[in-house]
Formats: sequence, structure tokens, C-alpha cells
Amino acid sequence: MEKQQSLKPDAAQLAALAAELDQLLQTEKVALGEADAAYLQRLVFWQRCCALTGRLGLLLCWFSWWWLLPCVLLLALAKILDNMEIGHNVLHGQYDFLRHPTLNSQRFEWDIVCDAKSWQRTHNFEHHTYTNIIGEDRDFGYGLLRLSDDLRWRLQNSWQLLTYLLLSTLFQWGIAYHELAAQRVFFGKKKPGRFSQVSDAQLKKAFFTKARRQLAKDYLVYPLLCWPVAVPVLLGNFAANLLRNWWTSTVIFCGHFTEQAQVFQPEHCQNESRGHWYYRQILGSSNFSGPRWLHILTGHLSCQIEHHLFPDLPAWRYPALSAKVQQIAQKYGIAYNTGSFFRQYLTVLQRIWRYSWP
Amino acid sequence: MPAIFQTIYQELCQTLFRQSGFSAAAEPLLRQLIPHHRAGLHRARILSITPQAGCLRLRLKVSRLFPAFIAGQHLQLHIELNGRLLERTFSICSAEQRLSEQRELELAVQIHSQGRFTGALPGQLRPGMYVHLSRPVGDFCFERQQAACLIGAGSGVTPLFSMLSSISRLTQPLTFIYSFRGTDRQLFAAEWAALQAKFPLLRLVLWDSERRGRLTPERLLGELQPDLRAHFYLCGPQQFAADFSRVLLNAGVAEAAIRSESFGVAAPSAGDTQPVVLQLGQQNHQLGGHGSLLQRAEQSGLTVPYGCRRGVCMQCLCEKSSGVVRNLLTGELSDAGPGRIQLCISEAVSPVTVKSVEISA
Repeated sequence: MEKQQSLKPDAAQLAALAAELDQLLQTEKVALGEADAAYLQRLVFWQRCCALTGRLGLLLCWFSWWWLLPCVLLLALAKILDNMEIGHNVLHGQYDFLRHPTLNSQRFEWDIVCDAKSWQRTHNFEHHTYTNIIGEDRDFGYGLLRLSDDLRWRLQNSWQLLTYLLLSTLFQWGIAYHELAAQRVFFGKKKPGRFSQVSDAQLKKAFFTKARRQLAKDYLVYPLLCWPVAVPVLLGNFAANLLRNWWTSTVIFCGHFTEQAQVFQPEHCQNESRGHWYYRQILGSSNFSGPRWLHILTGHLSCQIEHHLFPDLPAWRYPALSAKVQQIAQKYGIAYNTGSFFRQYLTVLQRIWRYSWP
Repeated sequence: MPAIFQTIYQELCQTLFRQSGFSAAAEPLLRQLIPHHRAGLHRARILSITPQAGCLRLRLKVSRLFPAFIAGQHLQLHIELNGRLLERTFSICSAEQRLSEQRELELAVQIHSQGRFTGALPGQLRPGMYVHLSRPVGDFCFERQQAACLIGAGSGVTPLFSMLSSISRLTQPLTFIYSFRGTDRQLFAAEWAALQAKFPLLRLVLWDSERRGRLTPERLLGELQPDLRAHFYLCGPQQFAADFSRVLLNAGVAEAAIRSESFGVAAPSAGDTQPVVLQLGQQNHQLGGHGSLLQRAEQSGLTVPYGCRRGVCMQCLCEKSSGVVRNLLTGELSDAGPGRIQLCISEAVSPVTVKSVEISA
């Protein structure tokens, strides 16, 4: 597949781009208010409904194991909503302006092994600042996959399609380990000049506390609470976690690792202007289209470009912004990467396969 | 033992719901049954809104679950304005009996037309709307068995009015002095006559400072000559409460016999505004504007957690890494090194660097 080329705009054009996008952001910020509060509350309500019916429904496995299927789907849906549309977006601080006592970026904790604070430290800062810069954005390939010729080929890359499937299956643990920057914390592999406000001991404690609670919840407390049907409940929880892992990893890989998503060299990004940052966010991310429910299930990461441009704007506003952003990108000759979900995912698999070889 | 149960309960809630308690986890579902329910707060319906003397008098209906209060206590009023939950502290101005008999409370909210909170209220509040209240707190409470002298200035009269109207039978002499600026700024104007008629032992002084001049502690002792053996209850702006306590102490009133409550924060001293860097998460922000660090953060367009805005609730607690700040409540200067400060009552005296404190899980 030929690579879509876009001409690099000069400094003046970048400044104009920044001004237009800032203007767009400002108009949206002014409109923030009741609609966002209502959307979030409604979403949390449906998430609780799914979780509650899923958990109670698992008790029906006492009568027939066929109940396992719908209940696992409901529970997986609850976890997906909690992680993607609620957790991810609340932890980005998108709803902080509401000043809700628990649904805010400081207090929220999600139904996933990765603890929210560690995720915020690395994801919100590293990944969103240095998106797709080789060597700076650890989320690019998660240190496991080679997705660009800028990385040296190693033997282990030849079976990276299998590595990818394994990562996808264990995704929540992969994320927890990755966001903790576990190599640094557990094995002392520190980059010189890196400074952390949080001690390794605190990071380890947060990791083990959260992991303990998540394991206890799904595999001990809930099965025990439903004692006579402990086994189906345990299996149901396991299956729901698995479905959530596959779904989230699929969505996230479609965001930055599609065929067209570009990478950047650190030397080109030193002291970059706001315009260049915007430019890089558009080129480094990819969208996919679909009906509204698909957007919600992805936590609106289907609008990855808009998310990377405006990470702290309530995500449900992204689809409406998409057309305007696309127009602006076109005006400055910047490629706007979008397509159907299946087409985008196919290019992700192709890319993983393509870079398995030198 | 209860401490252990508490720990187990919290750990269980953290494990099952990732919340500190069950009520927060159930809030989204309960909201469908009880409109506008909010975990940890009491829902109140606005019965009527009466503008009076630059204040809005809010008559509120609360549920049976709302705890009893002692006259003189205050609470936090939470109002959702355009999706945002804002809160401020107000004294209850109605009688204790009205809560127990009619489940009603009254607050007098002073309107500052420039204020972000109170300035927006006149246009937003409607009878029938729901607002939220915290539990009543505070130890500015009235002792019935003593002769007493209550002195209130401006909207500082609200807790004193609650004390006076909560008295069912007055058995000790009581002096009530209310200083206000101009008759159009006089609160509870229609109610004073009835109270005077109800309590023969009450000596009521309505001091209009526009007509009679400012009520100073010296004029209090000279012209009004209160009984110095009585208990004194002072409520008004900071400077007022501080001046009166000092003079009363000098006049021989025992320290234990003076209780005071003040509102508002001393105006930050004029002078050059010092550069302040506020670190939120991983980002550094230069604060513009003037006033307390919280005001400056807000003027710079930042969303910072806050609560009472008067140095009580600790929600705006931040870690100062360097710089000297003045405590606007006490006037004290901090040292230049690291320490924890509250943004709402701190003013930068030298260049200051602060960062938000992360709340541990």
C-alpha cells in the first residue's frame, strides 16, 4: 500500500493551524455545561445497570449454564463502558469542570488492574505529549512490537504477530505493567536524566494493592458471595475480563498503529511549536467510522485524532468536531486518516506482519 | 472494634466498587428513584426566595434524614450551576424548632454581584429547584443558662438571629446588638418587633451606622454599656470580631466568656503581585491576576479543587515547594521552604511554587 504523503507545512502555516484549532477548542469550551453532566450521569447509570444485571444474572446459572452467555456479555459491556467511555475520559480530566466528588480525574478508579494514578502519570503525560516519537513514546509498540523501520530488527520480532495476540489476551496486565514502567521500578533500568516525583516503593505499592483488589473481586469475593454458583461466577468474570481485554486492545491498536499512522524523530520535535504538536497529533493518530454505539463502546477513541488534539474535551463531543477538524486538516494539506473499523484493523495486522521482517 | 469493622467495610467497598463507601457506588442508581440525589449530601427543595437587604433569603424544605442543628451552626450550600457543582458556607438563620416541626431551614445568602457563586444565583434559582446541603457544623453555639450579649455586624447577624429565635423562654437578660449600614441593608426587618414583644427580658439595639456612625468597641462600652459579666457572642467581618474581642478582654471580660465567628477573608494587602507557579499534574501554570492563590488560579482559567474558600475544608490543600505566603486569616507569614498550604487563604509574598497534592487511593 502506498504511503499517503503530505507536504510538511512551514512555520507560518503551523501557527495558522494552531490558531484555528485553538479557536475550535475555545468555542467548545464555552459550550460545556449541563449537557455534559447529563451525558456522564446517564452513561454511569447504564454502566451500573449492566454490571448489576450481569452479576445478578450469573446466579441463574444455578438453573442452566446457558445463562452464562448473556450475563458474560452484559458484564463485559459494563467493564468496557467503565474502562473506555467513563474511566479513560474521566481520568483525562474531561469532566473535572463539573466538580463531581467522585467522577473526577483525582478520585476515579476503574475496573481494570492498572491503577488510575500510574496510568495518568505515564499515559496522560508521556503518550499524549510525545505521541509516536520514536524512543520517547513508550506506547508505540509497547516495547514489544516493531512497527517501523526506525527500530532495529531483532529475532523476537519474527513472531510478533503471536506476541500481539498474547498481549491482547493479557491486555489489562500488559497495561498495568507498562504504565508502571515496570522495567524501571522492578529491575532498576532507569534512563539517565529521568526524574520521578513518586518513589518506586509507592509505585509498587499502588500496583500490588490494585492488583490484589481486582483479583479478589473477580475471583474470590463475588464467587464466594454467590457460593452455590461460585464456579460459573468465577468463569463468567474471567470471560468478561477476557472479552474486555480483546476489545480494548483492538480499539487502542487502531488508534496509532494503522498503516498510515506516522512516526516522528525526536530531533524534529525538540522545542516544537504548538502548531507542530497539533500537526504531529493529526498524523500520528487514526480514526475509524461507525454508528454511535460503536463510538461509545470505544470511549470515542474511534475519534483518536480529535482526542489527541483536545484530550480534555468531553469525548462525546468528538464526532461532531470531526468534520471541522477534517476540513482544517485538508486546508493545510495534512492527511486525515480515517476508514471503516474493519479496514483500519486490517491495516494494523498488516503493519504488525510487515515489520516482523527486516 | 468499630475501627476494625470500618477498615473492613472500606476495603470491601474499594475492592467491589472502587469507591470509599456504598453510597457513592449506589448514587447513579438511586438518582433514578430520587431525582437529584447526591451521595453524602442532603437534598433540599427551595420553597421560596425573598430578596432582602442585599441578600437572598432561601426557605428550604429538607427530608427527615437531615440532622438536627444547634442555633449558630453553619453548613455548606451546594448548587449546580450549568452542570458545575459549586459550594459556599452559610450560617443557618432560622430557628431550631422550624426544622424539627416543619422540616424547614432558612439561609440568608449575601449577593456579591461580582461573585462567581452568589452573583449567578439571582438569575438561576427558582422555587421548586433542588439544592444540596452538608451536615450543619460549628461550635459557635448559644448557652441558655447565662446572661448574654449578642453582637452582629452586617450579614454576621444570621447565626445570632437563629440563636435568638430558637429561644422558647427567656429566663436571663439578653442584649442583642445588630449593626447595619442603612435601613435598606437591614435583615429580618419585619421580624424584630415580634421578637421584642415575645421576650420582655430582651434589650434589642438596632444600630443603623449610616445614621449613628460606625459602631466601634469604644462606643459599645461607652454608649450601650452592656453587662460585662454576660457571655459575649460576636459575629461579623474578621476585623470586627478581632477588634471587639480585644477591647472586651481589656475591659475585663473573661476569655472563656467571648465566642466569636467571623466570615470573609481579610483583604489581601495591596502591593506588587508576586509570580506564582502552580503545578497541576505534570503541567506548570503561571498564575496571573491578584488575590489569594485560589482566586489567582481561577482568574488564570484553571480548575482547582476547592470547597469552603475560608480555610476549613482542606480541599485546596497544596504542597508549597518554595516561597513565602501570608495566611490571610491570621496574617502569619510562612517560612520559605516546603510545606502544605491552603490556596484559598494564602497570598504570595515572594515568588512561590506550589503543586497539587495527589489524593492517595
